Amino acid sequence: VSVTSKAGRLVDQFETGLDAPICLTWELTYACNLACVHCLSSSGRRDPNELSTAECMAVIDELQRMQVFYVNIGGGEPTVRRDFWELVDYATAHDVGVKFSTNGSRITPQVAARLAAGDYVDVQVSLDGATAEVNDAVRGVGSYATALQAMEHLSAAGFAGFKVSVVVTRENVPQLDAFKAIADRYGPSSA
Amino acid sequence: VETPFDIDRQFVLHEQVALRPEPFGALAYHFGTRRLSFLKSRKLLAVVQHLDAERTCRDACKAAGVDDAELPQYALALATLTRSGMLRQRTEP
Repeated sequence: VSVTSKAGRLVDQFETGLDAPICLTWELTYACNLACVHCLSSSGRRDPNELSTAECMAVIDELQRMQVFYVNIGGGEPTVRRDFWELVDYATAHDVGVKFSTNGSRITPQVAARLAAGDYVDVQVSLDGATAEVNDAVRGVGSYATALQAMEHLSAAGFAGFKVSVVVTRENVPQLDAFKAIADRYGPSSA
Repeated sequence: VETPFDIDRQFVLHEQVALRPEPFGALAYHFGTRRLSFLKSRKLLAVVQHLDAERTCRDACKAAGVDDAELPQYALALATLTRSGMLRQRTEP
């Protein structure tokens, strides 16, 4: 929202930057139940030094003080942390919105219902192929079915605004329309 | 066709919006729509902060030190914030 002033140039307005980040990315855990060949954080095993629940909450307290608007939580598979939902609730209760990436393995109907009931959580389901054949070659056997089941649960619970996150590769780029069909199938219904 | 912004109406910051002062003005983040807006002057921030206590947008501008010559551009800024859902009409009787 612009109000013309003497310091109208963007370079002047933003010279001193922001007082805090708008959002940040938090790899809550490196533990993961998949072993995708392209994993950017070489996840798999839990880091023995990963933050405890209390330490994570202290980080969230600090984010609240800094007025960081939201965090993008990834990993690893963040939902394998036993305290994950507790931390999500803690963050949203402390004015820190949450967006998280998941392979879908822990998105049960109960979890989906819980997510649908809230307002401040965004979910991104990872899928690297629009067919099991292409996806599972990268993400592992059964991971396509797992991701689609998570989408089914989210959709059934009325959580229509989730995103599908695709790493585009030469194997899946011809499937872009098929990805769209998947997104349309589980996206907001026209009803 | 949009109706022109009526600066004598009552608008307040939407309750789902967090306002964060910045050196250049402020950031407004709407937790409901996930929209982010830049308020690119400290005076505009002051106007928005005065909305709650003042009766109308015009009063809030005055309280924030906006002079008559500046009023149109602040009305425009408030109109933009209203369109993006950062401000909403006050609903009290």
